[in-house]
Amino acid sequence: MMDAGRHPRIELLTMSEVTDVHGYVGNFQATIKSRPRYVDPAKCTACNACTEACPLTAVDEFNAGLCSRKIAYRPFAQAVPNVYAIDKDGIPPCQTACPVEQRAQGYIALIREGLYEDALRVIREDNPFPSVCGRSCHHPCEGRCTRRYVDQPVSIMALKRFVTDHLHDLGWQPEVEPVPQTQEKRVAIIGSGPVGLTAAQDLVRNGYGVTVFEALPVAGGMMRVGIPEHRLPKAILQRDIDHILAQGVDLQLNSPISDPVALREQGYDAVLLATGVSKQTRLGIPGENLEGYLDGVKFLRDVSLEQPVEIGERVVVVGGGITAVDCATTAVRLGAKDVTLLYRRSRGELPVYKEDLTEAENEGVQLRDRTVATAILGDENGRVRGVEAVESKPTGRIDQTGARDLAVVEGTEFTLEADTVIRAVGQFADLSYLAPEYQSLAGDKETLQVTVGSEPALQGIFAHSGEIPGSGFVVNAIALGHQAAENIHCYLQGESLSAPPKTRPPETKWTREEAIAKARQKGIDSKPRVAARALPVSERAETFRETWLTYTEEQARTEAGRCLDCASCCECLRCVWACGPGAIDHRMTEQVREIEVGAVVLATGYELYDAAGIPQYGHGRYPNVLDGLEFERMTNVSGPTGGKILCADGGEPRSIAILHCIGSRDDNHKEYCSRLCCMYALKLAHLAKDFTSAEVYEFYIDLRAAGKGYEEFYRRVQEDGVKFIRGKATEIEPSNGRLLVRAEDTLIGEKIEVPVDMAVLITPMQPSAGAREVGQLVGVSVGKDGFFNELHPKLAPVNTSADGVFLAGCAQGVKDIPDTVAQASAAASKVIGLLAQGEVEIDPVTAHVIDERCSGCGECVLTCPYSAIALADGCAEVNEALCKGCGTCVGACVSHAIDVSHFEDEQLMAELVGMMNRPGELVLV
Amino acid sequence: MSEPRIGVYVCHCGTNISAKVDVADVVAFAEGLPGVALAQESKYSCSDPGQKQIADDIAAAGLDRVVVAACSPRMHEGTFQRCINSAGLNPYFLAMTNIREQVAWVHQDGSVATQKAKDLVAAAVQRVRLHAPLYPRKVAVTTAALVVGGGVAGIQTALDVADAGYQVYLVEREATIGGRMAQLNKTFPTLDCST
Amino acid sequence: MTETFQPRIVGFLCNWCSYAGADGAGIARFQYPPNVTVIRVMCSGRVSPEMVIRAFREGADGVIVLGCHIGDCHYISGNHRTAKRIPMLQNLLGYVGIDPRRLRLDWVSSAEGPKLARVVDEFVAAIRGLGPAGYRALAAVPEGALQGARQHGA
Repeated sequence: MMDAGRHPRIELLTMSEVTDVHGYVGNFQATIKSRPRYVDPAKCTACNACTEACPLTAVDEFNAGLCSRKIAYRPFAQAVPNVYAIDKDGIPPCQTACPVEQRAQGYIALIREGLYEDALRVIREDNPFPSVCGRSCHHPCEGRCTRRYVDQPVSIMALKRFVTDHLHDLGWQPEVEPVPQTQEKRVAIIGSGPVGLTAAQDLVRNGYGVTVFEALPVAGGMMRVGIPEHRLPKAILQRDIDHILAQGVDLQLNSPISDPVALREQGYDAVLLATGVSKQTRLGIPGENLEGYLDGVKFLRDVSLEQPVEIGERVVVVGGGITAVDCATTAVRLGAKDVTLLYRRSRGELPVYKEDLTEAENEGVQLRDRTVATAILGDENGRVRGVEAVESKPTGRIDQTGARDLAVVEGTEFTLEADTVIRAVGQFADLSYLAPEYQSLAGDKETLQVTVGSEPALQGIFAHSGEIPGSGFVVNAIALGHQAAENIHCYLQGESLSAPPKTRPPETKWTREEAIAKARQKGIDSKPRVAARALPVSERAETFRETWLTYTEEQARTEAGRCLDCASCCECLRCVWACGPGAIDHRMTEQVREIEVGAVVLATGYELYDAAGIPQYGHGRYPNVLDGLEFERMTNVSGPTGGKILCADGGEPRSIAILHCIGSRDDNHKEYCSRLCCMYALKLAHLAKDFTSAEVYEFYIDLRAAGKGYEEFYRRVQEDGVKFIRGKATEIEPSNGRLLVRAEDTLIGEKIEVPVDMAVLITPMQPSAGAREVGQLVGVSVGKDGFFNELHPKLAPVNTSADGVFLAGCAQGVKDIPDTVAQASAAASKVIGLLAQGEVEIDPVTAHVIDERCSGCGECVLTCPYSAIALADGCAEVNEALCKGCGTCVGACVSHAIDVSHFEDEQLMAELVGMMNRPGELVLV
Repeated sequence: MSEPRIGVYVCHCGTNISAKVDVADVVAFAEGLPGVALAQESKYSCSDPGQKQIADDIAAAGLDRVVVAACSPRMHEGTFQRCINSAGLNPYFLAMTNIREQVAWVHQDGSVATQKAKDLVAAAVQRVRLHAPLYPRKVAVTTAALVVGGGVAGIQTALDVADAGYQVYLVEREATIGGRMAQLNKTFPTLDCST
Repeated sequence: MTETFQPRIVGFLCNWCSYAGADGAGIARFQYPPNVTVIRVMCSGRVSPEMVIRAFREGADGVIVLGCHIGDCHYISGNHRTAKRIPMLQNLLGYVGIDPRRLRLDWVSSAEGPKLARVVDEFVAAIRGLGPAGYRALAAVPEGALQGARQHGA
């Protein structure tokens, strides 16, 4: 093994499979698909740090499933190559659903393990606002969570919040140090909202000097002045902002900027306009200039900035998003007695989470859905006195924006009395801060129309151009910030902005059935999510204490335990942080490569027949019934029991039965003799005697010890004191905590029952799963037992009917190690013999086209198993190097335009004529 | 096309064929077939004297096509192709017909077997008349090998081939090579360590 | 013996499985009726509808096509074509006046000498039951009449 790993002329392609083979003897092209290892073999020093850091475990196949191993692992200490690997089943859907690809499965796993600091660290890798997103994220992750198939999705957002709050409550302070500025260039960012501060952090981490200019006296943008205190306390937002600033971002408050180009002249190499969507859409109905009619965004901002805000006792909020709900619940806290939410669509279409709406209603907010405001009514003083509205219903059509079209219901007009009306029906960019010469940049709906580099005067000025989809969601804004930072980084480094998208592993996809089956397999019962607690309504009115409370530690760990770990590796990044040489890359993808070879050797080996398929022996049901490999692993010091043969209860067995021919020489399972199991069973008996003082029984049909030194070994085991019983064990039954082995002792002709503590089933070897498919790629068939067919059992035991393809080892038939090595060397000598010739003769029996008859229909092209025929200029053309002369194309050609040398139509017809027309019988047509 | 000169050789294969098939009768029948210049019995056509007889006749009688009625072409087609080639004929001017595995060994009745042998010889004579020379192409060999599977067998093959100086690609499905052997503790009969 | 009708049957056997299976039957000395004379083809997919029709025209009372089992074809998928083409041809034989039961397709691997002997036994008995075919004087099949079999089968 070691020699193969070190050999300069052997290239190991592990975690790889052959997916296609083309060509012919001496000239094969093979396609090899390699699964990603997520560890760079060139850097890995096999130090085991990743394994120690990994929080997740999987079944250890190497130890026959008897114990578990980490997800970041090395199969065993002497593995070749001596490189770790990570089991990853794609990227979990919670991560792909997230605009910033937050590694949710990762921090959930770490919460489950109580590793809260690392959980927060992995959150911050992709998201500078964990406290904010733990509270007011629209969490698309939860909608895609695999657990939803079992009962309810994991409460991902609440878990994120728990980590931030819990660590804060413990008084834990992350160690943040300013990132040293390593780049000469500096970047100015206008606006300190989620886009601006995310970009600022990313750019600082890339070594740039960054200054953020904020017009308001406080930082945070809409997070600060758009989300009310009772949903996102200012102090908590400040925790995230402080963390960003501590990394070296320079923040200038009270600094409105109207001329971005001037900033360039002041020495900033790039400028990012991150001023967001702060302007409220107007309703476009009469009465929008009345006193007491408020802009929802401005209303929330004034309340946040503790500016005087006057509202009456009766408040109507027009709109249905989270901003509308925020306006309504803020109005309640400001003392409004009667708050109504007017929403033009149905309750179910309201784009807020059910819990938030329920809590608002608990506070007294009344929802009137399917209601459209048609006018704001005023009194003689120009003050709002009410809203005129009408009920709506869907027309059944879909409008241009893809939403359901609405129509008013005639005769349902009514008036709602109100002192204050607040509109909250959508936001767009407010570009009024820009100097007049830049106003031309604003397009419809006042979106920016800047395309980077489009105008020389605007070089280095960055802004999101066009409409920003879903920009009202914090996490989308964070994603935009990352994107902006990356674009600016590319620009400053002089790289193309249209770089190809980065490759990444595919998404983990489980069907509902798979999810339910996996949950059952893991012993997970259906259990709804842990509900978040809300502040009692009585404590909410006229205070701005947070409505939702955080999970307790116990609740959080229970909820985190609901995660199904659907992607295996959770990407908690602990291995990345632990890896000194930086060998781990979670973004590796499957690699496909083509190699050219002159010969192919199939050495696909064997696997053990599954003893669980023979129910009368109870493998998988009775704890102390093992198969040979399981028993073998116990005897290994690096095995699951550290080299002790132990029963399931931990005690040493006093008696062990070894049962031969379980599943072999059996018409119901494998008809063949698996040949080496007799000796293997003897070896296990020897090990049993070596490791324990147990009585050991061998139940055999007959003992086949036909190999050099084998009979001597048999005798040695007899001398060990192993008891041999001639007769196949027929069944195993549990009895008084032990196992009763039933058999017929054919030497004395009696049925016997032997009580033992442990039974080992010796099952046959069978061809590896997938071997048949590999054989088909190279044109080698399998016999009825599934082993590859050799060309001739005696004359050509390692050749196959496919020239240039040879067999070695158990892929061809059951054999022991000495025979395997001998056959492998035989196969090698055939390969060497072929390669040493330097050239091969290509059989001239190939197809050829009779051009003048070919109509170019392409039927032969479709028929050819080797893709050896192509159409050129409307005529078929045979690649003789690929053609193997089967003649299937000839059988398919309607126009007799293709024929195969030496098996030509004429020749075969002549044969027919010759054999059928006996002299004297000839009848002329 | 001038009339071909076909030589027909009907093999006794010791008594394997002649125990059932009346070889002399088949030869006499063959002599009357169109294009047949000579027909001969052969005790063991694949033996050195048998092959020499064919090669000599090609030279002496100016044969340009040969029919051998003997065992399965899967057995000896190559032998006779090389034989006629050594006598200067293109190897594809051979037609072989199987009167042993598919006639003498599977039919009890001698007269029926003889009739079937005649049918097959007639078929081969008709066929060989239309044979054309073919020439194998020589193609360089890529001096590298692909070994699929990294267990004992794959590793041993890879080492032997690599030691002989050729590049080997050893493809293994798992993360490590070693296969099943790596899981074994000690191996019989010598009880030495497997890795 | 002279009382019994001795049908003449043409067998098209693929080189890698069925012809080898026939050799295997011989090696094991499995006896079977002598009525089938064999034409060796490299793959059963080589057998065109015309070859089958021609065999009947040359006086065959039956035609049997034998190939590798599906999945075991030496040429990967050549026998997939056979598996479609021959049944389609059977459907069309009636139109040219040939009893479809006179054409049989089966799969015989190189290890199935006994099966080969059994299949030949059965087919000879079946053809004997059908009696002489007498298609020797069959008019030449018009060009194109069998295109369906090729297209659907191919």
